[in-house]
Amino acid sequence: MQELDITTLSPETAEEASAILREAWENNTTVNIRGGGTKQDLGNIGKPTYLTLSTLKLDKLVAYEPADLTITVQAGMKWATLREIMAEKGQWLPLDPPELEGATVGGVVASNVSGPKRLLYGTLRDLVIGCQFVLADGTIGRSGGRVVKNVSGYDLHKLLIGSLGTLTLITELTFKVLPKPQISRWFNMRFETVAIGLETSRKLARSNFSPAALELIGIDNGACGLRVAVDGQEVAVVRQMDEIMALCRQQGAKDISILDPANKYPEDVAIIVEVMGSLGLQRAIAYNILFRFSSHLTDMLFSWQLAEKILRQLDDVSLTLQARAGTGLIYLYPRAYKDENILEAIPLIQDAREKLEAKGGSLVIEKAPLALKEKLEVWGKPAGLNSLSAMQTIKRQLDERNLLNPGKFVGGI
Amino acid sequence: MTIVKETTPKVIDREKLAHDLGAIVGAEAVLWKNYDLKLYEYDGSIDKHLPEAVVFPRTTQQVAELVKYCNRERLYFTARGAGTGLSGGSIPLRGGVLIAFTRMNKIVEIDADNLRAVVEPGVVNLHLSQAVASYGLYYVPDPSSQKACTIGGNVGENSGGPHTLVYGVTTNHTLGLEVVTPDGEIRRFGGEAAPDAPGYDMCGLFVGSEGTIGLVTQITVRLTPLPPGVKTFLAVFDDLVKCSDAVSGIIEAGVVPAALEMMDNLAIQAVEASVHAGYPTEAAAVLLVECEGFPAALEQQATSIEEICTKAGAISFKTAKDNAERDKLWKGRKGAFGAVGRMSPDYYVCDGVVPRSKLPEVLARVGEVSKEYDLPIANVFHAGDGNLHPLIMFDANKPGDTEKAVKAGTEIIRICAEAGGTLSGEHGIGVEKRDMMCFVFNEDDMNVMRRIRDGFDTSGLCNPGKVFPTPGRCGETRIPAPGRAQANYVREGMGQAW
Repeated sequence: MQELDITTLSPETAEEASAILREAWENNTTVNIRGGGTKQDLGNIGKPTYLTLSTLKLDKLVAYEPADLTITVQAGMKWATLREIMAEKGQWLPLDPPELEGATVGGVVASNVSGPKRLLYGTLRDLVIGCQFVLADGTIGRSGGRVVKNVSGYDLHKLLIGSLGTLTLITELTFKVLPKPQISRWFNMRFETVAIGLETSRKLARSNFSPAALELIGIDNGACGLRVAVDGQEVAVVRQMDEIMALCRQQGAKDISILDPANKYPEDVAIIVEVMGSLGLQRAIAYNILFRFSSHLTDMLFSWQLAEKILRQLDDVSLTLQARAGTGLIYLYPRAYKDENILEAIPLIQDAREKLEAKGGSLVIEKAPLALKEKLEVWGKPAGLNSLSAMQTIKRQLDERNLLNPGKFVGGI
Repeated sequence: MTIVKETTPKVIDREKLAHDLGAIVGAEAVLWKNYDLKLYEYDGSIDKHLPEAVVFPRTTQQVAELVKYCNRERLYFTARGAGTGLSGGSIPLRGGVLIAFTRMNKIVEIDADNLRAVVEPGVVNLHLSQAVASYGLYYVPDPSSQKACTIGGNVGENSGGPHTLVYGVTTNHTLGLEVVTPDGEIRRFGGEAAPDAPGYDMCGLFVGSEGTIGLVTQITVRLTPLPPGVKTFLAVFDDLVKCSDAVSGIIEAGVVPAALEMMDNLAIQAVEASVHAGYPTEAAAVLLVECEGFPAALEQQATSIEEICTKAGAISFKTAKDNAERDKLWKGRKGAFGAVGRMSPDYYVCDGVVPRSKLPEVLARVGEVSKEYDLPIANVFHAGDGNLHPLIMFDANKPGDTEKAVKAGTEIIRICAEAGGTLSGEHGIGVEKRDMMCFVFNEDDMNVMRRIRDGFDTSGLCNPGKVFPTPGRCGETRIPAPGRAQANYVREGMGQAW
């Protein structure tokens, strides 16, 4: 957000990064840590920074042992490059975040992004097994390691996932990887109401049919589409699809159709995957607001209704609502709204946030125009009880002078 | 901030202490006489130390008051679950108050629709899976001692088990935590089921922190649907290296089984002498493989796993035809620790991890260590994730044997670290391995972790002496005070060990 930066430095090693940060620390200079820049609009506006530390030259492969199912790379490596390296060996990192031009591995981790298949494979906290980082004062540290099972020392890398560069610079990451599934299939169906669609999704999530993704999309007249993914060995996938379709038919699903396997996502799933955090994509350019609603599975209909209310207030007729239905997440990405309605919707957004928080959920503003961010904190309350002061303790112990990406995070951290 | 690390509490008037603690938790929930305290001076490891008092709180509020009391009185405090830990995490190394969670053992809520349960820390691991089985669900992490160990202890150590190869360990199944931090504050972390809660992943930090930055008082766990089908195989090899090759082959082929367990000849002999699982005693190694999924898919997996094993040189391959056969195969694996206990007066369980591809090399070196120290070592391990459990057999009654066993164990861990692995896969660092931390971390790495600890444990009273090396001692072999009460205890707790 800030354009005050006077210098951008791009270290090639952790030691160079350490020297840069050490000097900044000695001079009390605030630092913006930046990867590919695709997520610069995530978080609060933040305080001005006077130095940008770019990770783009920290882009090397450190170690890859396909037989061990682990890979270690420097944090500035492009996410796409990481995928290519593993694809050559028939492996993948089972995470399907929006594929943004230029996104880096470190950026993906620092912003904790994920995709539809998190339902089956989990999120970054399930995949990162080790990390090298540099503290604000230049100290280089490590946590975890290069083996898949490890309880030696504190799992500091867990703290760094989603920390938006507010705790340390991440210089190197080690991941657990998996063999690519033999086949992946998506299929579509329609339900008369969102309530039935969500209920069916919940039943699927509780079943042992192991769907890889359940994406529920609002369509006209209160109906919804459900997009289901299944990954695995062919013989198993065929059976899983049969079981899932049988359950869905029982629930009243109409127009079940299997997608051409050549497509990575169904068209409408692809849009939300691109919308999440994208800036430059043609199709997504129209979306500059993205809200994330989080609730228990059983509160998803309630959460959906809160989101619909906000859409109505915006006079938006586009029904741009999508539920990651097996996980409790709903994304709202209004596009056909009138600008002047945005600020008027603030009380409604705040009301929805309070109602979700009261049920243990949250409403996070992932993308919004500056005018909205100036009036509305993007994160809401940190979950739990007395948790903010514990998070502030972490921040203080690692970045006492508050120099790294200050002010962007929860509670003004 | 002043860190009072070496606070030595004044001479303690135990009767007064017991009275004060009784005012918080009730007199019937305090032990303070030497005779009673003796039962709480050890866990499943080889260390021990007497607490000044043991308390059994029933509520989070009581835990918070106990911690505040300890702060006021400058008393050390240490959390304890079932005491099955293998690295000394619950040993009150400097005395003080031992807070035992065995009476906080309620399953607070089973929320099957949201695939979660809320439990108190004293709930026994297996009891939770039993309680949710009727919903078609289970709690995945299944550590060795799951019949005895508590979920609070599992959270402290980030415990694993054989079925964590695909599904992950405790941290991957922990959604929310309630903890009492060393300042006596009650805090709740995580979204408890709602995902992507705003803020740092505090649950991720606290799981596996070995009770050094707070006491867990409630846990929200993820529940998982039971698989539609299970298939179990046993492959027999006349050579350890061929068995390791089969493990790599299975993983590389893209088949990730639910469990992939290996045992060497000595472990096989021990098992056959006690539980008769039907393993051929002349085999150099057996590989126990379990796959989960739809029956049709399992058939196909069976075929490809058999092919891989045969190609690697398996001399026989057997599929369990029914549950009875499956149970028999598992009985051997589950009973392995106990069986080794019958073979030798004492044994020391090591827990090291290496990258999968280094298994043959590391196993050969473990064999050399056995020769060098002249102590038999049986190998039982989670081959799928490279997690070794060499069991070093010794006789504590023989002068010098305990020291030899501990030295051999340290050597094995050093070998694991040098092979690119780590100190512990699931048992924790505790006191056992604190002086080995420098095998994998340098001073800066550890100082960053210490900063986190010092941020929470500002007075240095919370589970002292754990995880971090004694200054100047790193790399030295720590020989614990001799004592063998715990050796019998291990066997009892681990009689059905996985």
